[in-house]
Amino acid sequence: MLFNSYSFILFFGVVVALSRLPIGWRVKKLVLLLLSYVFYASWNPPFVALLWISTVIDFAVARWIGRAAAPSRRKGLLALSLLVNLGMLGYFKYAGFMLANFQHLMGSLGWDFQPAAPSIILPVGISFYTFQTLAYTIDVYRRQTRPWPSFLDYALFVTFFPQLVAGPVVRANQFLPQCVEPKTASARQVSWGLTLLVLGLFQKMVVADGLMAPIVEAVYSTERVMRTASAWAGTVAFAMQIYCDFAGYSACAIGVAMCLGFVLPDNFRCPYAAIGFRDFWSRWHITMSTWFRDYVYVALGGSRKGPARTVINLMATMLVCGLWHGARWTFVAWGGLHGVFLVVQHGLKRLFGTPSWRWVGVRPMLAILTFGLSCLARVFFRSDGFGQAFRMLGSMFGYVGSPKPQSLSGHMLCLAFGVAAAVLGIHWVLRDRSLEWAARRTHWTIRAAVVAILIVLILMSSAGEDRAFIYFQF
Amino acid sequence: MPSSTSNSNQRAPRGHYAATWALTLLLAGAIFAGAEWATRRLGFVPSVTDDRALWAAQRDRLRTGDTRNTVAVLGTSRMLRFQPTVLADACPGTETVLLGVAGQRPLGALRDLADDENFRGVVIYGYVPDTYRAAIREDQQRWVDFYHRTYGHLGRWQAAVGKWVELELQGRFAILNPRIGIRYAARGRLHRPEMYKALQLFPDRSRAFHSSVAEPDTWAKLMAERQGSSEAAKKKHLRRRTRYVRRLEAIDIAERRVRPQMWYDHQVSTIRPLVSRIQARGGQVVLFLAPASGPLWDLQQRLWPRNKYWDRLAEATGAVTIHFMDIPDLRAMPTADLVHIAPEDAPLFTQAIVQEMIRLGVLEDPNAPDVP
Repeated sequence: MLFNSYSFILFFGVVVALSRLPIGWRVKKLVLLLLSYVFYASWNPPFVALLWISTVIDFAVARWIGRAAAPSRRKGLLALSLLVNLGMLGYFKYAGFMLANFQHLMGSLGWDFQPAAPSIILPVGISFYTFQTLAYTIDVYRRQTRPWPSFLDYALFVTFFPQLVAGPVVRANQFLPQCVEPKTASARQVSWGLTLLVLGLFQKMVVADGLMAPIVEAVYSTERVMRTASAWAGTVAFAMQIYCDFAGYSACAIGVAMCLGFVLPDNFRCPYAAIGFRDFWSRWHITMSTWFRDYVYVALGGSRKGPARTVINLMATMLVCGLWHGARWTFVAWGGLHGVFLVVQHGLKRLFGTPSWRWVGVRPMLAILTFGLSCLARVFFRSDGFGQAFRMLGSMFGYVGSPKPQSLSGHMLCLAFGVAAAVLGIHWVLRDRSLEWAARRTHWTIRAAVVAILIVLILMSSAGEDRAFIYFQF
Repeated sequence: MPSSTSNSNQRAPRGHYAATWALTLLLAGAIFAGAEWATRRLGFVPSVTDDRALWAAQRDRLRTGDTRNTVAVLGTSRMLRFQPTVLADACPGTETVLLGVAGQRPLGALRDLADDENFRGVVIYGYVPDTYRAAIREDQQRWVDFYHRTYGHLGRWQAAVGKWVELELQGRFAILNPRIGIRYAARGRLHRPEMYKALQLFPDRSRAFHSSVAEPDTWAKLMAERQGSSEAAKKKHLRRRTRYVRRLEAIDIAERRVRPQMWYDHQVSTIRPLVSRIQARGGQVVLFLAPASGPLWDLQQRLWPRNKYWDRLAEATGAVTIHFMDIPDLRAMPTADLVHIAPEDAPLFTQAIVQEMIRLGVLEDPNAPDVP
């Protein structure tokens, strides 16, 4: 069930109505859990079993780890959790990829290995909920959190429908304490939650799907070579599309949860105003980037083991981050490029220290440079293969190499660069502030007018091809 | 800067909650009503979105219940001219399920109906001579896959409810006409509203020019608009069409030269078991060649001579065949863009097919005397 569907609006209405019934808190949580299973089962009911496996195993393992005193037993239990979670993720997400690579390797060694093509459906949201449950077990192992006593609360933490399929990746210590006290969303929460829902739907349906997707498809769904301006327009449009798609989803998730009285962490904070890639990753998909920081980068030693290991750890973390996005080498290349950007920035900082920019124009220029470099990496993220990626990069740098390169219409070029300029401008203005800051400074009648316009635009964009959120595939 | 665990909850604006949302809804209603009024003033009419979800909703009608009195129309855009109301008038109690998809070859849909044990009705299969080219013959499988993916298990109620709400809204408001949506604006297509203002698509996927808006010769005007009004535009259109025909010819000649018998054997061997399975359940399959004209029809006659291919197809596949040249009304029907009849001719087009099916015994004749 998608947030951008009429069936979800009906479902959400039912959930909100039930959440406000005068029934016990425990019953409310149980109802919310059951409805979350219904929400997930609407894609593919058998995959609910995977959720149960992940929930039961990690709840039990965390309790056993909490009770165990011997380090070897604690390690063994953690290994069990890792094996189950990463095993499921590896099988459903990477089995086909690994088999194809093995086949390719055998082929290069002269052995014609022809296995049957695996027919594996990727369960929606598996990358997200396995990360949540893994983080819980690891936190308990590290004694950073205590095993939660209530199975109902824990099951709700894993399954809570607003964040189940595409995040934010919520930590146990952010969510579970909210399950203790009975709660009903306040008027303030419902009002702002609905505003975030409208804003998220606007980002997804109007900007990402309505305005940007046709431009991206026109550039990336063709084998033809594009002119330089068109290649840049398509790539910039994709940067806008994926931001509005995912940030839109996150805003919807946070807003929906808020209407039920729950608080989810921020996932985006004006990422296209980032100055440098360290800053970028503190603003883009924050809950995932902090997950990789805490459970991969820090686990590898972080920056504590000298400059060389820091570089290796950074690269390893970003390569894994790339692979997490999908079973394709182009995603790994995307992660690798970000790793290189981070390493270069790390090196510059070691050489020159943190600069204090005297000329005010430098900071926006660095932000635009960061955005431009992130767009170059996005080419690998969007392309179907390295052939298309290098062809697109060639076009972006003027190496068209075709007598008849294709070009977008002037209308589409203006739209791509116009929307990008608007988003970059908004991000720059709100760089060190927040959306709520802007809302608080705006008269309530103006806020009402803006939200009304967004609602009408959403309604006008609602019809059409079923368009899932991009991050559902990850 | 806020920490990574920060949230919107504590930063949200305070006060005026009820007033804000009351004003929001009031303004949204007013803007929507104003936009609706302006859209209708421009001449647009309500029309629904024809996408895979609508196709799936129609396909789902065949999943349960008695399908013996159902006609499933498969094919490309040529078959989307079929009018369910004409069939219902000619054969009361007979329902139509339109499963054609513009530009997509229908083999996947035929296979899907053959696989569906519940389907026992009649299939009209819009035959396109190049259906068996490997590159395109599985086009419609994506629609079939979408149907089974979205209408499986719990997904059925979700997809059905969502589509029902969408159709209810689109059926009432011209502002929700997909021809004027945001995606059209993104493609810069809003500058040609005349072309599709009156083109109306109904929830059963049938389409027509809206009677209160459409003028006589709307189709001819639409074609003229599409071709452009200037001489240069017309020449450009003609060049494009000629290139298309030549490309088609080159592809097909190349394939035919390589292994013509294999090409023919393949098409027969693919269709025959599907027809047999539908017939075994009491259903029927009608292979129908829709009207074509101009260089495209010349090409079809040259590459697929009737006596060599079409006339052998009925016997080889076991299906009933209807060739448009055998029916005077269809033979005389103009196709302004070589393959599509004018929407104004859709009732006559449907009537001709229905009468031929009654004559061939595929459909029951409602006027036939009752046999005791």
